[in-house]
Amino acid sequence: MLKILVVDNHPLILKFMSGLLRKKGHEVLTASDGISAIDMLKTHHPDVFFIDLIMPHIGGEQLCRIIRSLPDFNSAFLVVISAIAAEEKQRIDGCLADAVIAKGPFDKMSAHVLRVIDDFESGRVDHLKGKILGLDEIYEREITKELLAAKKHYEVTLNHISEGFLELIEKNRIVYANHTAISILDTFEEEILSSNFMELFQPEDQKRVAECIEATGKLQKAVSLGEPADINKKTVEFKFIPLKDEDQHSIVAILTDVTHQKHLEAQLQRAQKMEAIGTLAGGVAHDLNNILSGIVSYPELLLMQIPEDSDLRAPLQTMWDSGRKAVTIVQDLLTLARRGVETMEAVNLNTIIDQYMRSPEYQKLQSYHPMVEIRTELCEDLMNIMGSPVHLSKTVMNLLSNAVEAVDNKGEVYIKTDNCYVDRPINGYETVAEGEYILMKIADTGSGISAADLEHIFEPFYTKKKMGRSGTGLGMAVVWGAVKDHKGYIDIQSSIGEGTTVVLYFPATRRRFDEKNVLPVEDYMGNGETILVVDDVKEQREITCSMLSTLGYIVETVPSGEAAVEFLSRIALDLIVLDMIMDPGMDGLDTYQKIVEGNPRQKAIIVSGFSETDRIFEAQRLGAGAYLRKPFTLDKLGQAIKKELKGPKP
Amino acid sequence: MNLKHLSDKMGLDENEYIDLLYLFIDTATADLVNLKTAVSNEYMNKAAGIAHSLKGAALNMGLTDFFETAATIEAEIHRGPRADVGQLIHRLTELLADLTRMV
Ligand SMILES: Nc1ncnc2c1ncn2[C@@H]1O[C@H](COP(=O)(O)OP(=O)(O)OP(=O)(O)O)[C@@H](O)[C@H]1O
Ligand SMILES: [Mg+2]
Repeated sequence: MLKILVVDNHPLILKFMSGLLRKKGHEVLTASDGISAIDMLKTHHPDVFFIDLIMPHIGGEQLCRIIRSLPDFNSAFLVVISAIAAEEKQRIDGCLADAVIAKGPFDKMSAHVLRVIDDFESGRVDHLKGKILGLDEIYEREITKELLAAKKHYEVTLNHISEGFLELIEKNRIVYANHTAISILDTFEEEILSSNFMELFQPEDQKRVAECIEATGKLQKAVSLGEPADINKKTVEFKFIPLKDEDQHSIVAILTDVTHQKHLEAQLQRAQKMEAIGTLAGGVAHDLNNILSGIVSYPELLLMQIPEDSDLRAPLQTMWDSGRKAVTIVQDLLTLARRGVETMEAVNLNTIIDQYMRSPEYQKLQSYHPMVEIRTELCEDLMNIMGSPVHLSKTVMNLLSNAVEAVDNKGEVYIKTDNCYVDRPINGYETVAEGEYILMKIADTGSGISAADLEHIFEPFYTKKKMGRSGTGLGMAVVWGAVKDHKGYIDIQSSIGEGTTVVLYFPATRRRFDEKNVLPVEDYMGNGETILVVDDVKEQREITCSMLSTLGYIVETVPSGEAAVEFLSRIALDLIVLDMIMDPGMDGLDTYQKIVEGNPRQKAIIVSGFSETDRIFEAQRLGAGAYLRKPFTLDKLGQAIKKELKGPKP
Repeated sequence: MNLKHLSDKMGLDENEYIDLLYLFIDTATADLVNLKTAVSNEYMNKAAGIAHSLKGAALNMGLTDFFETAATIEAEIHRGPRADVGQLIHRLTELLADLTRMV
C-alpha cells in the first residue's frame, strides 16, 4: 500500500483519482493547490505524488522543484498530470518529474495512472522518463498553446525587468517570484515560493512592512514602504500593489534594489562634507600661512647674520623650529583644502617610511608605547611613485601613530610595502584605474573601529581621542586628502577587538628619483641684479625683500599689480617676484599680462600660498618662470631666481 | 446519451460515474456563472481560463458535446477581443441542464 498525494485545482480530478487509487488499496491525500500541498508535507510523508501542471499561484513545475529540494523528499516519485502536456514539452522537461500523464477521458487516464503505480511498485520506472503517457488521446491543443503563449509572454517580460516582483496571497505567502526578485533575495525559487514574505525582514522592519501590506489591502491602492528595508545585506525599496480579480485577492510587492544608489549618495555626501570643511579650513589656513611667513622667515635670516657663538642662536633656532611646526599644521589644513599639494616628484615610499622611523617624532611615539612591537617588511625593489614627500610622510606618520595609539597595552603594528598590479575594484571604490601600484599596508592588533565610526574617521576633526597629546582629528583627513591627491586608494578593514588594517594603493611610476639638489649657498647668490617684489601683504614684501638683499640682489617693492605696472613703465628691472593672489585690484596674472604688453621679455617668478592654479599656468604660458609656494626658504628662492636669470629671455 | 453507456465508456461503474457527474455539474454550474460575469466584464484571460477548465472536465467525463462547445468558446476568446460567445455559453447552459435532468 502506498501513500499518495494528489494535487489538482479541479475537484473532479481529485475525486476521480482518490476513488481510483483507494479502490486499489492505497492511502490517498488530496490538495487543491501547491501551498496546501507543501503544508501537508510537514506532517505527511507520501511515496508518490500526482501533480497538476497548471494551477493558480504555484504551478506544477515549481511544486516539483520545491518538493525535490526538501531533504525528506528528494527521491519521492513525482508524476505530473496535465491537459497541455504536449505543447509544453519544455516546461515538462524542466519539471524534474519521473513520469508525465496527459489528462484525458477517465478510462484512459485510469489505465495510465495504474500502470505508473505498477511500474513504481515493481521498480521499473526508468522507461517512463521523457515520455508523455496518453498523448494521443488529447484533441485540440492549439488553443492551449496560445493561452500559454500569452502567459509566457508576461513571464518573459517580468523576468527581464529590473525590479523584483513577488506575488503574495493570504498569510503573506509568496506564490510568484520573478528572476530579479530571486536574485535580490539571493535564493532559489523553490526556497522562496510558499515561504512567508515577512520572514525576509529583520524583526525591526516587520511591523511597518505588515502595516504597509495591510493598508494596501484595505485601501485597494498602491502603497510604498516609506524607508527602504534591509534585506540580505541589500537596501531595498518596496511598493505594494493590490491585485484584485473577482474571486482572488493578492498583493504584488515590487522590489527595487537601491543599495548601489544609497551607497553613491552616502559617498557623495561624505565627499561634499569633506570638501566643505576643507574649503573652510583652507581659507583659514591661507591667512595663517601669510602671517606665519614672518615667524618662519626672520629667524632664518637672523641666523645667517648673527655670529656662530651668539647666545641668541638657541632661542632663534627654537623659534624657527616651532614656526616650521606651525607651518606643517597649516599645511595639513591646506592639504585638506587640497590646494596645497606640492609639485610631484618621483619618490620611494620605503625611503619615506625609513626617514620617518628615524625621526624624533617616531622615537617619541615609541617611548609612549613601549609595549607595542613594530615590524616592517619593506619590499626591496619597491617601485617609485609620483608624489609629494611631505604629504606621504604625513600619511605614514598619521597611520602609524593611529595604529600604535590604537593598541591599548601590548600588541603589534606591522608595516609592509609591495608592488602590485590592480585589475579589480578595491573595496569601497566604484572603479579603479587598472595598472601598476605600490601598496602600503599598516596593520595593528589594536582596538579596531566600529562600523559606525568607520563612516566618519576620514572627516576632519573627527576624533575619539582625548584632547592633549594627540587628537585634533586631522590625521585621517590628511591621509584621505593625500591619497586622493596622489590618485591612490584606501582600503580599510577593521573589527572591534581584533585590530585594523589599512591598505593604501598609489599608482607606481617607472621614473627614477629626482636628484636632490643641495647646493652650497654661493651657488645661488645674486650679483647685484635688480628685482621688483610685488605683494599686497606688507610682511611678505619685507621678508622677501630681506631675503633677496641677503642673497645679494638690489630690491624694490610695490604693494599692488597696478603699482608694479606703473613702476616698470618707468624703470626696467631684471626680474619680478610676483604674488599671484592680491586683493583688491589686479591679481598676478592680470599684472603679468599688462607688464608683458610693455615688455614681452620681462622675467618673473611667481609666489603663492596656493598650489598651481590655472591662472598660474596661464602666467607661465605667457613667459613667467618658476612657481614657489609660500612660505619659501632662502635656498628655494635663491635657486628659482638664479635659474630664471640664467635662462633665455622669454 | 445515457448514463449506463457513459459510465461503461469511462470504465467506471454507474454509481461512481454518477458521483463524479454530480461534482461535474456543481463545478460547471459555478464555472458557467463565473464565465458569464468574466465575459460581460471583458476579463478575457479569466474567461479563457474558465472555458479551458470546463473543457478539460468534460473531456475527463467523456461528455463530447459539452467538451466541443467549451473548446469552441476558448478558441473564440483567443481569436480576438471582440469574440461573441454569448450563444455558445447559452448552449453550454442548455447542455448542463440536460445533464442535470439526467441524474
Ligand atoms: N588604526 C586605528 N585603530 C583604531 N582606531 C583608529 C585607527 N585609526 C584611526 N582610528 C580612529 O579614527 C579617529 C580619527 O583618526 P585621526 O587620525 O583622524 O584623528 P586622531 O588620531 O584622533 O587625532 P590626530 O591624528 O589629529 O592626532 C581616531 O580618533 C580613532 O578613533
Ligand atoms: Mg591620528
